[in-house]
Amino acid sequence: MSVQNAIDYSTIVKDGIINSRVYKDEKIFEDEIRKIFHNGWSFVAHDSEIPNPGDYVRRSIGREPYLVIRNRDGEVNVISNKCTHRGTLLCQEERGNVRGAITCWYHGWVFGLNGDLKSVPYGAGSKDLDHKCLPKATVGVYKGFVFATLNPNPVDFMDYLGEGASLIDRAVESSPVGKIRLNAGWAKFLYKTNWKLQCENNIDGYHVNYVHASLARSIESRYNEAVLAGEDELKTTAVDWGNGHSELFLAAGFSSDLEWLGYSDKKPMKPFAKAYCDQLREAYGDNRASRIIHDGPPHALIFPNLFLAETNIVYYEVDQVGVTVQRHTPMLLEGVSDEMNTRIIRLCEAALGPSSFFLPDDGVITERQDLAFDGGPMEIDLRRGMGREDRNGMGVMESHVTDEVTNRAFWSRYKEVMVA
Amino acid sequence: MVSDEEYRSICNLLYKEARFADNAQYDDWESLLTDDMEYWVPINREDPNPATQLSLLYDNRSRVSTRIRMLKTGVRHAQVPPSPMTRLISNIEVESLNESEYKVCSAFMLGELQIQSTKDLHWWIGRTEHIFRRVDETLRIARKRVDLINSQEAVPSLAFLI
Ligand code: FES
Ligand SMILES: [Fe+2]
Repeated sequence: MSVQNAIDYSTIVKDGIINSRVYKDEKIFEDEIRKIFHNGWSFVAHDSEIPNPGDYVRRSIGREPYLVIRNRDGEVNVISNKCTHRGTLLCQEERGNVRGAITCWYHGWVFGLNGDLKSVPYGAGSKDLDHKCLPKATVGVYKGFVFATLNPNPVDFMDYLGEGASLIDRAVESSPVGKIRLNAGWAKFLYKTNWKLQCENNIDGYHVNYVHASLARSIESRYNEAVLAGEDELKTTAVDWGNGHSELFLAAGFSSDLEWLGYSDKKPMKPFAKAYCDQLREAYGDNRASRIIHDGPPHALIFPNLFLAETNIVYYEVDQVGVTVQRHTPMLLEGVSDEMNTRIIRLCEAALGPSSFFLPDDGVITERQDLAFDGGPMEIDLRRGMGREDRNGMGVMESHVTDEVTNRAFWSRYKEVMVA
Repeated sequence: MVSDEEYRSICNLLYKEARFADNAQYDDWESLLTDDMEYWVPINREDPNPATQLSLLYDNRSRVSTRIRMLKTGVRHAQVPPSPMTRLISNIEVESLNESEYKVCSAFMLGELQIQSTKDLHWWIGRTEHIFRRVDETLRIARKRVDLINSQEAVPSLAFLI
């Protein structure tokens, strides 16, 4: 790339001010694919999706087709889904089991579960195929969450994850045995927006009263209480955990146990919910269990594409500069009753996806942003709360829930990665 | 076997429901439902068990009411204004289940103008399975299941009544 064409990310992303070109420019999008998704870590799958050797799911790294596949030794590999001969997709199904090996249906090349080229038909006519194994991504797994990068020498996985690890800890500890399972299937919601508008929206605590006004006016819940509350009464906070990871700490606003499962003084717990609380107390002891029962799993974004959405797991697939697919699935818990998990599935349908009570409204509002940016660049203002954010007892930046500290966390990481 | 008269009244209800949904006549649409109506749009085409699998939508009667109340607030942004749409219903097959209930299977194509944002014209295509129940001489909708051909692919906002 010539110097004149290089984009100066230090000027288009400044403290709290973002030039809207970043949502629209094809060149910037290509840079992001390379710098963020190919050279850096992003979420691809959870290992509970592929329990047995040969099990795979199709996923993308940036826009490159990959398979997340379990090998014979039980390890998770992330290998290219493009045949190294002439490039046809090896697996077309979203998920499945390849039996012992992956056979290409174009000319019959056969690959092992580690991506090695095992055999080619009529081998005498083919030569120098030693290097023709399937490209393998570098893989990092934390508590079953599988991240991948195409960079053979990436930053250390745990350094990248940073405090994201404790966010994942708080998600999986919702299970009395500390394990989650993503096998209820994924829903896919198509947004005609840049992917970053979705990241921003999900960790934005300022929009609830307006974007979700119709829900607040239709049900009795913490959402209509939040709408009525004055600025000083809102106890929830927005947190910058570093490395671009951020959280809306909703638990600070909960007034009763299992509010995150939809229970309250007005809606008492069903027997299965009480049994779940008992299981947590047994597993973790009273102190820790009380916190889990009250707080629930976090509402947090792990840079760049994983959204821990309370009892749901969400991630983004970048498709085109103006097209993003959000995938979501309920975070099912190991070691709890079937009724409890069915409850989590119903919550997922209410909150997320194209016909839920929340996301269609987020979708349409962010699509209107993306359309408006067609008119030419403007300065997006994410400075709210800059004067009052502060480091809390743990040394992390925390502020009023409506403050854009979470969005600034995302953008400061973005800038670091993009200027490098 | 159902009589010609029964078949005609079943078709009337199908078409009326479609018209109310197309025209965003929310109260009229809700008035067609039984008190225990279930409204379901599965994702998984092989094993759509709602106890273990995520659906796009799985409403019991109270959730249907919430959905309708939201649409009527005038600030359900995803449907402000309501999508102009037309659905064609065909391939209607009726099975009598018992004295008061019918299973009604049909196919549909629904053209929707996404007027709230992109102004894309989107086609929703699939099959519907209704359970109609006669309650006090009136035929009502006790269950509606909609299987989209692309339920497992990325779909745009589905905040209207499908
Ligand atoms: S393209 Fe796969 S064997 Fe030829
Ligand atoms: Fe929202």
